[in-house]
Formats: sequence, structure tokens, C-alpha cells
Amino acid sequence: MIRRDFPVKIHAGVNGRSAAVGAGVLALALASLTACGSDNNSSSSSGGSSSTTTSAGGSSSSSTSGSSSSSSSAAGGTGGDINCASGSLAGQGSSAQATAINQFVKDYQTKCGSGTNISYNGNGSGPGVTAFVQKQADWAGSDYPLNADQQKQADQRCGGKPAISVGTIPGAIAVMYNVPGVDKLNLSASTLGKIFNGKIAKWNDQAIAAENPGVQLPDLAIQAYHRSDASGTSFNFSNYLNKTAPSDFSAAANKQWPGSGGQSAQGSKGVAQAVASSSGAIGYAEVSYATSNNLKTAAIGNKDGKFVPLTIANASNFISKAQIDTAAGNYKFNFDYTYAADDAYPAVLVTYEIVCSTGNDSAKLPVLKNFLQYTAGSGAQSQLEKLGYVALSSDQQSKVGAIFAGLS
Amino acid sequence: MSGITPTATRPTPRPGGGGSAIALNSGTRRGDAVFSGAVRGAAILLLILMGAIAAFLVYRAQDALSANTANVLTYTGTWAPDDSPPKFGIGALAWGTLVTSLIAIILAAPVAVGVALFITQYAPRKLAQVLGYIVDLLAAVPSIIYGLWGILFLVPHMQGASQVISDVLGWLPPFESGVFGRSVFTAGVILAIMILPIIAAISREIFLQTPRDQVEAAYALGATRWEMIRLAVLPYGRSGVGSAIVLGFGRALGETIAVAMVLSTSSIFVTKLLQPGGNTIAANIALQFGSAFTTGQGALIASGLVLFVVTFLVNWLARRITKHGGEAKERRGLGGLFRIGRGGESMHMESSYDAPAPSEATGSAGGPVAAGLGSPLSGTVPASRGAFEAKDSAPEVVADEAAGRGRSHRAPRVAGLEGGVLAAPSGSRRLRSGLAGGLSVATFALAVIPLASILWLVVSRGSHALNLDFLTHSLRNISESDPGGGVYHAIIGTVEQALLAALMAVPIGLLVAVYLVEYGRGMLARAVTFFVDVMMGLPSIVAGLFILSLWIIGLHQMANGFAGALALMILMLPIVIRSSEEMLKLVPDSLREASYALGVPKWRTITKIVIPTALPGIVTGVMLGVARVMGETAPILLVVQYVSFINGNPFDGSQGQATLPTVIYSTFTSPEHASNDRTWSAALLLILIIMLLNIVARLIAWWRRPNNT
Repeated sequence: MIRRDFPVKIHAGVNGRSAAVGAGVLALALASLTACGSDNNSSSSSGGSSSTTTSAGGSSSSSTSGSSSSSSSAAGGTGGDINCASGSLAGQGSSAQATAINQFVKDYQTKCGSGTNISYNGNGSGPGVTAFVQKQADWAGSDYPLNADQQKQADQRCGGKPAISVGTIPGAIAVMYNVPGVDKLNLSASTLGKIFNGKIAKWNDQAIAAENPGVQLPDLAIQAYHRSDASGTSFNFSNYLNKTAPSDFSAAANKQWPGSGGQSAQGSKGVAQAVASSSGAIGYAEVSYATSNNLKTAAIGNKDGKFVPLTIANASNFISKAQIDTAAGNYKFNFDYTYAADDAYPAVLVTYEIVCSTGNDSAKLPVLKNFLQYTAGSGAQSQLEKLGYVALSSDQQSKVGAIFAGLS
Repeated sequence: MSGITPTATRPTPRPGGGGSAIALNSGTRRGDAVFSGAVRGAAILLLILMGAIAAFLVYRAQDALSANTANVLTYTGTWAPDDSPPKFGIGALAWGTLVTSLIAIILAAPVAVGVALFITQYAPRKLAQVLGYIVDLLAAVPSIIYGLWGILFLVPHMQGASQVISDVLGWLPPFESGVFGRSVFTAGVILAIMILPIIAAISREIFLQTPRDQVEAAYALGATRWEMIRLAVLPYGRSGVGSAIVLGFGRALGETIAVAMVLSTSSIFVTKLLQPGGNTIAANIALQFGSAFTTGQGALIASGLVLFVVTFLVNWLARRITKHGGEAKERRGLGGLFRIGRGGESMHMESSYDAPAPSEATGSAGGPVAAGLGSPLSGTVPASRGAFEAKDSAPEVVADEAAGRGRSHRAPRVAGLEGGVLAAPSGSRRLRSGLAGGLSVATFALAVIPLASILWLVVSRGSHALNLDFLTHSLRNISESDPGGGVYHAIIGTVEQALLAALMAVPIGLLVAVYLVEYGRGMLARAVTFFVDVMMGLPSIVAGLFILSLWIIGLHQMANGFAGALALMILMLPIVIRSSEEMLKLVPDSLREASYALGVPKWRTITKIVIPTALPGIVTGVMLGVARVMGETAPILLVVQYVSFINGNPFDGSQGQATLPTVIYSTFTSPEHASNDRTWSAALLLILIIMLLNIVARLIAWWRRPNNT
């Protein structure tokens, strides 16, 4: 029952030492905080990045401009000028448009300097719309326009004024595959429906072989990857399958992948990475992800059963037949899945920028308005093809630009 | 507190706190009233906070459950709570959670126990000490690192591995046709690797406390090393190891990010372990929270509540095992053939057993806190029962921050050796002992492979982009393919959020701990203790969900750094309370009584004598808590918006903040080399920061050790 006297020994002089320790730790923490960090990454990479920007943006106009800060003149066409505004802006949503938007953000920030901070988090169309409604994002990117239910909530968020969905960045959905030894692949919508519903399990299945005469198909299990999060790419791809081959893909378009079976990964990047890393895999994502992961893409079947290879021109042809719906200030694309030309790639999407038409935060309005105008202008749109997207026609560019110019 | 005779030693009056007793006496009553009011207030605040969390979650969950048109237990279709009509099911998720955690525990438990045995019983003394440290540090590696390793290294290799498994075990339905990299089995493997160091650290700690005299007695009877382990170490540690395993299971249940990264999700009741599909509650929350609207949030909250309740039950079970096991053994011990003396005089004898001295035992354990003050064992021979009693409570802190919750064990004071006197070892007994030793070494090697692979990969791939520019630049204007850029913005976010969380959690936590130790009586104290236990088991994703739905959506606050700090605060609070409580308990009553005898009022005794005495231990506990929350990913993903530029103001309403884990999470899928290099460097940096904090915390504990001054 005897307690030794050790604590007393501790007790003497504890204060000084532990206080010193505490102070030391705190000082360390503060030192690391106050040390000068920098957002200015231009010194290390400006040479490369800004020159690619100018050449992409202003290829038509000239190569006279230097690579320095005067890139606005280099940004080319009339709508492509960057009108700077300072402030910070937070957007999130569609991962399909992330590659493009991040490039545009970079252009804009490079031109406007450290007073302008724009973040775009490509965490999926679903999260983007939710964040917009919850006022966590100033604008959202979404591969499908607001539906009636979401429209109500979004209008509420905009103080009772309408929120608008403006189709700005069209793209194509690549069917990417990783099958050793297969360089060219044709897949009809009904075969794709069966694959993504788990009805076809092997690459050398008869259905696939019949569509690919002369191609050596291996005896390999198919790993079909879809998105695990709410995704506009899922919505558009399931829409294509359902509209083109309703008997083999009966589920209606849904942002949560409606097919049964298969595997999933998060985000377009996740799907692309999964396909790239598993032998026998197939998946879908915006074409820029197929390109950046060096994945092969399949030619897919249209309504008439013709196989159309994925090129930007083919996707553009299909998108150009879409009906434009401008009701209520929106700019929506209604795709015509019955259109079956040999050069029209039918699995496409358009990413909508969703914003409040009026009632935006006055501190953020200038940068919101100017940035979105830039994305619709020719300076930005002319870069899209290189980035793996489809540009709006010049008529569409000016109409969309006008909508953004009218934001208040 | 009670019944301990004050010793003859003088408590040295604290400078400033001492002075004259008269000065101290002034304003006694009011000071005491204010102080006890404050600590009681903190305790009540904690209860209110917990009550608010529970009430809010239940309220939100109920709405969604009543709107649900599908059977919540059996529905296996798409997670669609925001569609009309709303449809979602939690049964399949809960099943997936159980399956992955069971796979993890089946794989991890035997290996972890083998590792603990190897370190405590077989490894040379110096090596054992080093290995002990390493295991403890590995237990602190955040889950995002395991996830990163899992998706980029393990998954591509699992395709072949599961093929092999299904070739061998394919006749069993759960192991049919495994050709896939992502399956619940893969998730289980990742979880197993994650919880292995935790179980090993606690088990090691328990094995080290095997009473020396029993070990020596076993050897004296002629036991081989394996027989000694069977007779002395294992019976002594059984309940403690059992509860360590259950704690590991609880940890696996709540794990979010690593599973979300490697699992290929679908809502089915998984039966084929090697095939894709299945989902866990926590991973589903992480994947779906972003796109959830009102009903969706309610549905996720409902699933979070299920997870919370299951985790709580598991942790409760762990405590029951410990208690029950302790009692049972005590009884058996009394009836045993040999009774080793209680505490008392133990035999001094030389034996071949080269166990680490007990001082190292407690000193290097997962709970350096225990080492700081609670090493009454530091003499070679425990001289009194008092020492044993002190030991009983000390190691509990260990489990708390190593495993996230719970008590590691109540050390039974007596364990029996059953069996008669053993003759000199025969050949077969020697062989068995050798085999057991070999097996233990083998499990250790098995455990080392994945853990070494993680560290090697992080260090080798992360080191070449980790330079001064990386530390001082942000990712603003850096495309994935661009070289350069850095994580300064994330370092700021990580540090600020953790410090803010500590700033909120430490005062409240310390006051609650003071209340529990110095004032706590009756219902309120019991309720507070209970709720601290409950909070210990709160899966981090649920804490994030709570802040998201109450603070951000309910109160229309912004998803900025402060929201992240709030979520981290909820996670830190129980750690701070638990470790401070244990440290305060270790302050001998003689000090308090001496102070009272000098006429010092209670509140001044506490603030000037008790808390300063326990301070090093408390600081250590806080630092370990900070290190723990710094690696959190899941709650931060939910409540802080990721940005790529520097934002030094966590209260900024219009911008979020980046943290190191979220940088890793938002870049790990990139196909670009430049971006991958940055991801690995961020991972390496995160590990380095957490290790540094752990090491400093341990150094403080070691430095303040009584026989070190």
C-alpha cells in the first residue's frame, strides 16, 4: 500500500519544462504556418503552360504575341477575350468536363493573376448539383440539365429566381477497353447492353465475335466498369443504350448507373484507371480520359446497327442534330438517337453549367460572369477539340455567351 | 483518492502556486464554486452535445426511413433515396460491412498475435524494442495511405492472387471464379493490413505485462519456451488479446476511405468473396453523400446510425470480454495447482528468458502516456501491490489511442499455472517449441511483407518530388501533366484544422476529465463515462455526416476549414478526455492531501498541483490525438471543399481548404506521371508529419519518466 514518491520528483520543475515543450511545439507549428508559401507556380512552369495556352487559344489569330502576361490579345477571337475580375469562385460537378474547365481556369488565373482564385472540383454531376442547391458552389457542372424536382430546389437557392442549365461543353463518351491483342473493336448497342448487364461474360462470346469478323478475341473474362457515384456520364451513356437498344438495356437513363452486374469505380478518372489496370476491362468515360490513359476505344453501333468509330468530328455530327431547347432561359440539347448517319457517333453528352440567372452574390458576380463567358467564347471553345471535347458551333457560342453575359 | 496513506515525502510547493497558505485561502469558497461549476458545466455540455448528435441523427433518419418505399432490410437495387418514389436498402450494406470486416479479422488476428509473440518472446531484446516502436508507428499510419497502396499496388496484383485462391478453394461456393482485382476479399485484405498493427500493438503490450514471476516459475519447472508461453503468457493475455481483436474488428467496421478506394460497389448481398460487388455502410456514405438531397441525406444518416450502433455493440463486447475474462481467470487461478505469490516477493533468478525489462515494456508501448507517469514497474521487481494497482489503469490509455477506443484490459493479478512439474524437455517437446518459434517468426515475416511494401512504395515513389518547392508551393494553375507545384496549401489546411480542433477539444476535454477524476459522482459521472465510451466508437464518417447535416445544411454554414475542425473536434474529444483522465488518476492522492493539509482550496490544488503533475502525460495524449485527426480523410471530404490554391483562413466563407489527405484523395486516380509523383510525395509528407508528432509525443513521455529526471 505504499506509493513511491516518484510523482513528487516529477512535480518539481514540471512546469518550466512542459511549458517549454508546449511553446516549442506551438512555435514550430506557427513557424510552418507563417513561412512563405506561394500560389505562384508560373516561374517553374509558365514557359510551357502559357505558351500552350496561347498557341491553342490564338492559333488562328497570330503567333506574334509573347508568352508574357499579354495573353488576352493572344486568346484570339472576339468572344475569347478574358475579362479579368478578382475574387474567388467555387464550382464543382461533372468530372466529364473537368479536364476542359481546369484548363480554362488555368487560362483565366494566369491572365488575371493572384487576385483571382477559381476552384473546380470534378467530383461528379450529382454532387455538383447538390452543392449548388446547398449554396456550397457558385455554379455547378452537370451532364444533365436540372430535372423538375431539382429545378424547384435550385430556384429556391437562387432566391426564387430561376436557376438555368446552359449547355456549354459537349463531349463524346468513349467506350474504353483493355483487351490484350485487340486493337479494333465494334460493339453494337445491344451487345454493350448485354455486357453492361452482365449477360455476356467472356470476350470471345459469339455476340462479340459476330460483330468483329477477323479479330482474334481472347478467352478472357469481361470486367465491365461503371461509375459508383452519381454521374452525368452514366446518365448519358445509359440513355444511349436505353434509347438505341431498349430490349437489351431496359432500364431508363439514370445518374446512378441503372444496369445490373459489373464493377464500379469512382469518378471518370477512377473508371479510366480501373480499365487501364485490369486486363479484360471495359468502361465508359468522356473521351479525354481515354486519351490521357492511352486506352483504346470501340466503334459503337447506332440505331441502324452501323458501327461508328469515335472521332471528335463524328461526335460533332451527332450533336449538331440535337434539338436546342431554350425555354425558361435554359440552353438544353435534346439528342436525337434515331439519327443514324455513318459519321454520327451516338454516345455523346453535353455538360451544362448551372447558375442562378439572377440573384448571384454581388461580390462574386463579376468573376462568375466573366469566367463563364470565357468558357463559351471562341478562345476557350477552340481549345476543346485538342482537349478531347466537341466545340459548340460559333452560332451556339454567341448564344451561350449572351446568356452568361446576362447573369446578374 | 481514498484510503491511501500519505507518504512522508514533501510535495515541493509549486513556485507561484505555493507562497503562503493565507494567500491561497482567500476567496476559497467562490473559487471552488466557480471551478466546480465550470467542470460540471463542461461535463453537461458534453452530454448535451452527444444528446444533440443522437437526437438529430435519429430525427433525420426517421424522415428518410418513413419515406422509403423499399424494404430497408432486403432491398438490393440502386441506391436511389432521392428519386420518386425513394428507394434504398441498408441490409445489404450492413452485410457487406460485416463480411469485409470478418475477412479482415480472420486474416489479421492470428498474424497479429504471432507478431506480438515474436516481438515479446522471441526477438532479441534490442530488436524487440525497435520492432515495438515500428509497430506502434504503423498503427498510426492513416487509412488514406493504405487505400492508396491498395488501389495502385494491391488491386493489380490481386487479380492473379484471387485466381490462385479460386483454383485451390474454388470448390467452395464463396471462392468461385476469382479473376477480379476488386472484390470484398481485396477490401478485406486491405482492412486486415490496416488493423494488424493495432491488434499487434495492444497484444504486445499485454504479453509484456505477463508477471515475471510466472514466467520464471514456468522455466523453473523445466518448461520449454513454447510451454512457458502456453502456461504463462497466453493464459495471462487471453482476455486482453481477445478484446484487442474485437477492437480491431470495430475499427474495420468503421473504415471508410480505404474500402471506398478499392471496392467495386454494388448493392447486393455478397456471397462470392472473390467477385466484384458488395458495399459497406461507410464506403457508401463516402460515395453518395455528395449527391444526396434531403431524403438521401436522411437515408445515409440512417445507415450511419446502423454502423454506429453495430460499432458500439462490438466495442461493448470487447469490454465485456476483458472484464469477464479477467474474473474467470482469477477464479481459475485460485483453483490452480500452483499459486504464484500475489505481488509480494518474487523470485530473483537467472533464466534463459531474456524478456525486456518491464520498464521498457510499458515505456515503448502504444501508450507512451502510460510510460510517462505510469511506470511503477520500472524497478526490476514490483515491490508492492500498490504498484500493481497503478499498473492496472495505466495501460488503458494505450488501447484508447491505438485502437481508437475501449479499454485494453484489466490485468488480472493472479494467473494459475496448471499442470504438474515438468521434466527436462524431451526431443518432441523441443521440436514443438522450435516449431512454434518458427511459426511465430513466419507470421512476423508475413506481416512485414505488406507493411514494408507500403513504406517502401511511399518512400521510393514519394521522395523524388519532395523538395523545398513542393513544400512552399500550391497546386494553383498546375495541370495534372505539369511538373512542379506543391502542397503548401494542404499543409496549411491540415495544420490549421487540427490545431483548431485541438483548441476546442482540449479545454473541454480537460475540464471533463477533471470532473470525472476529481468531482465525478453518481448519475452524471456514469452518464459522462458512458458517452465518452460511445464517442470513442464513433466512426469518423459519422462525425463528418453529423457536421455536414447539422452545421452546413441545417445551419447554412459554409464548407470551410472550420467545419472540418468541428468534425475533427468530435473525434478528438474522447481521446483527450480518456488520456487526461488516466493521467489525472495517476497523480497520487498524497499530493492532493498534502495540499489540502496546507489549507489550499480544492480548485487551486487541481490547477496548481494535480494538472501540472499530469501535464506531460496530457500533452502526449493531445499530440497523439492531433496526429490521429490529421490523417482523417472521410469527414474532411464531407465537410470541407477542396481547393488547389492557398487559403490561410479557415473561417473564410467563400472558399474551402485543402488538407494532405484530400490532396491524395483527389489526385490518386490521375494517369499523369507528374501528378502521381505529387500524390506519393503528399503521402510521404503526411506519414512524416504524423510520425514526427508520434515520436515527439513519445519523447515527451520518455523524457518525463520518473527515473529519468
